[in-house]
Amino acid sequence: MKFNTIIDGQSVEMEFSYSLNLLSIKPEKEMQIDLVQLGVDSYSLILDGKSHHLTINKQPEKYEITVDHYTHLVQVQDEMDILLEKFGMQSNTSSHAGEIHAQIPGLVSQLFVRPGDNVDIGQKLLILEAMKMENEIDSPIAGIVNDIHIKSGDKVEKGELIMDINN
Amino acid sequence: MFKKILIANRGEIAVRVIRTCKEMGMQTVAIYSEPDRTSPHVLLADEAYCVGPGTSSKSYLNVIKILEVIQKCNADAVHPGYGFLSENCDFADAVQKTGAVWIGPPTKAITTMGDKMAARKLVLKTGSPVVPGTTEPLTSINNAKETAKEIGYPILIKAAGGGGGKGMRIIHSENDLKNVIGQAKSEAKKAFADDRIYLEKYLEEPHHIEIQVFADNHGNVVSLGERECSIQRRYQKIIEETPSPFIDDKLRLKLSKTALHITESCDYSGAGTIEFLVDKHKNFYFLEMNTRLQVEHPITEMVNGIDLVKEQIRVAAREKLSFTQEEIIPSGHAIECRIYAEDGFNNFAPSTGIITEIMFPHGLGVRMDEGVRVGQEITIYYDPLLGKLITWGKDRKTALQRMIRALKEFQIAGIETSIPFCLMVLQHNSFQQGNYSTHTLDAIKNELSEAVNNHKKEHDWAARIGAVHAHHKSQQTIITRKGQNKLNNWTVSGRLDELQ
Repeated sequence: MKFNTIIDGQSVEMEFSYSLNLLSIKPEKEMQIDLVQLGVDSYSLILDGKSHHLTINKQPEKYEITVDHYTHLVQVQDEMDILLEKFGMQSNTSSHAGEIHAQIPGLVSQLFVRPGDNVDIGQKLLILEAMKMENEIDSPIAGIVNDIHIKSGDKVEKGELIMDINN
Repeated sequence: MFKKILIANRGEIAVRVIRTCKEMGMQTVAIYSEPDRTSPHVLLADEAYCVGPGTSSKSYLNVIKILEVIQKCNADAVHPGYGFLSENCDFADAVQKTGAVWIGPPTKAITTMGDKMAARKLVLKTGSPVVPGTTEPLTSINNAKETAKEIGYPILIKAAGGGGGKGMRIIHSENDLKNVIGQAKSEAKKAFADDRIYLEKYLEEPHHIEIQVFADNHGNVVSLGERECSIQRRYQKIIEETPSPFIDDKLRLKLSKTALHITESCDYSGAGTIEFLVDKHKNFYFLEMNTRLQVEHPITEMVNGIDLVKEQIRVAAREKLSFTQEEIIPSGHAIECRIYAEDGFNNFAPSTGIITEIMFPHGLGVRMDEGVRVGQEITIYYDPLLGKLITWGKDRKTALQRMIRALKEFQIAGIETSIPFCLMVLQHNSFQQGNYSTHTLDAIKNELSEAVNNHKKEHDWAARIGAVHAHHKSQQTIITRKGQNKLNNWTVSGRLDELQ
């Protein structure tokens, strides 16, 4: 089976032969894989004899793979995705820069903008309080605040959409 | 001696105190908030009582409820740990009124030393050096501007009510002053219910070095040596070691003497810590005294072979210290890494979630003071400290190599932790050489990120393979059916492919 994996924009085509636990990567590279699940989301990987500890966490549209403590963000395309891309179609939608997502879970303690406000790059949008620290969230772009999906006092989860800013 | 001790705290420090109480043959009582029902401190204690919902102010800071529990369970002593109510003299007084003994210093010492400005005044009177700054809280922005000009920029804004970096800000110029003061005040008010702030001089490449002191009620005051705590993020310590690679015997003696002098001046008893800033020219200044056990106390225990909690309990029972100054001869080297639930490479953003797996490190010279278990949810309610990893070695190199080994061995899944960050710091040249100050982390930030990227490049294939496996698995749920988890999934799916 063929897959494309993408890390930091670098795409690699990989072909797996499951019965032999063998991975071939174009051009001509072969690796011996032995992957065994240890816990809910942790794995032991012995790759060409080298032992690694992996944790796997599925995010929307990508995978968070921790290899020996350090986390990689990997996108995976299977044969269907690759086919769709050939026809100029995308099987998933990507977010744009004006979408403000909560980088951390926390409590919205202060909101400095309202829908319709003009904001500059770096302008203070809100304060997100977590573990007793105040974290200031600044605007990544200049534009107009379109929608605000939360209000002061709300508890937000990591990754939750807070507001949209149109440029 | 006491029969039953209530621990008015949670997490790793509650576990730490329970361990010693049990070794001393005492009954232990835990208090807990609703979400902490299955936390280790609750599971380990002989008795446990719920004191309210998740929010600290309604549970671990709920004085009325905690006092009720103290009376209900007939505890004859209360250990406050650190944080929460440990430096709250009203609570200490109230505990004593129930008839229970307060395992901590006299309330007068807590009051004096807990108020950073009163402490400065007292220390100035003893003739010990303090960091140049204001002794009165700021009254207005103009007052702040004038004072800042006198001291000279950069200056540091600090909260009068407490430590831990909350309400603390550096200001480089007068332009920044107004905004930053507002922010600091609101943070201080939230953390300590006290929005008084003051200014002090920001020192050149300062080291944060503290002296552990111990006093009993029979006039004995002993210094247990220093801890080097200069590796800090967000003004909070993350890696500590003893002895400090920066100071020499002469300075060590001077710091100890000053610390003993300050301790005596406030009629102290129990465990205390005198914090100093030592600048690059080895000038030292009193910073503050913490009238409680410190998070990083284990490294002092490791080099001295003394259980500080046991000593606290003995002193509270009005026994004499079990050691004299002459008997304190530290041996070897100890390092502590704080394991926080946070992403060290994303601005130390707190990380929450359910811990799905833990593999604690073990082996010669490794100590784990933990407060969490598998299946536990890490919430936004409390401090992100999950536990502390401490290593001891006959010299610095051994302790350091052992720490790196132990951190590599340490696996936690389900949340981000400070483990990868600590690993990169410990392997950096500045830490390896023992040549660092409180400014070092900021200065080497880019080098650390680069080291992480190199590590990632090396492990690129493993990550890609893991992702493909997860992707494949999510498409073929059949292979994860119950009972087959322990099988090699590639083999299983291979077999499935052949069947099709």
